[in-house]
Amino acid sequence: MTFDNDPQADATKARNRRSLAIAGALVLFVVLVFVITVVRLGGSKPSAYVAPRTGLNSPASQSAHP
Amino acid sequence: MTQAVTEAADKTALAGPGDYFQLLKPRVMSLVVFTALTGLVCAPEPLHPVLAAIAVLCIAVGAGAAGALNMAIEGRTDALMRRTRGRPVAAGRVSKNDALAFGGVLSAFSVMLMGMAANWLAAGLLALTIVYYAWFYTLVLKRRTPQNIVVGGAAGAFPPVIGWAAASGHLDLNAWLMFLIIFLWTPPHSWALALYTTEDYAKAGIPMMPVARGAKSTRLQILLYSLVMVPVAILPVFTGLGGTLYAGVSIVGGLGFLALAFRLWRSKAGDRPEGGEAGLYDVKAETKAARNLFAFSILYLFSLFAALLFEHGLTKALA
Repeated sequence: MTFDNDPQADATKARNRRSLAIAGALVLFVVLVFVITVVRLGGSKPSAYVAPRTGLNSPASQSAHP
Repeated sequence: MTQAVTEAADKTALAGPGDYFQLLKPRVMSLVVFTALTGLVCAPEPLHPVLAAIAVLCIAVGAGAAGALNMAIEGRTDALMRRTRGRPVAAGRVSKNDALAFGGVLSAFSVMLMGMAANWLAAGLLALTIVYYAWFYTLVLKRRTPQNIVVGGAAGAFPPVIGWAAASGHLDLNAWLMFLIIFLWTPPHSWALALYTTEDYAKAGIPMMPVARGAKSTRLQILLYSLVMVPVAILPVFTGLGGTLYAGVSIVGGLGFLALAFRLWRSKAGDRPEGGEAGLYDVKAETKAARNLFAFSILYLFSLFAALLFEHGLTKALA
């Protein structure tokens, strides 16, 4: 049984609110790290493969092997 | 003694998220965010909008963390001053250790995120600003010299530089010009406030200029700093940072600033200590000039940076 002005109950409520705020802040931090990673990786999309000018895949070697 | 400790523990047990938010000095944070955003937008190289938003958030949280560390360290002094005695640590709603931990963790998170989102130059500058304000200004300068606000003003001048560094990865003359404007603006702004809260600072033993050198000397120094600051605030027009709108705002606003600083110099603001508990924020004839300059200085700085933000934001939006 709790009363409206029970200091113990008020302290528990306050602690719960603080715990929720910390949890929210931690979730926000994780989300931000995730977003930063996605945006940063988004800037380096894999581009089309460009064959080196020398070696087996070079245009010259390809023309030599029809 | 035991009862007092128990009562203090009871008070801190009831602290809510709102008390911790107050530790971040939200009003100071809003001006920091605004100037940082201006630095970021004015930088020549654009930053991805999402990363830019995270960078501004990091600067806001970093500034708030520095404020929390300041309040943790200054709890006892704040409790002596009417202007600050309602702050969470001073009022006993948050313990000193909790405030220190809160400020420390937020500092680490904000610097780390800034490094990841933008670059490590901006992160380093943010870390430097936090240490400068929380340690150098609060612990070293504030109680030792009446020049505390002059040297300590650098902490408040860094946000646009951090914003600029976050976007471009380097710093140039225009970034330092924004720094210089806020740096020179801080003494007249803070001393105008100190002129009508002299009694409070004296009670707390803080050697603010009116306490240490008297009101007359403070009024003269406000005028001298204003005479230097106003032309410096017009300089961006010549370096290409500010356009026509900025030129108008800086000239008209600067003339207004000088007129109010001159009127304050001619006044008797701060000469007579204000009496009574209720007197702190009452408008009294002899402090009106100081209050007018204090209020106008906020509007002036806001207008300067709003003009820059508008001009550069518009240019980038149209590009």
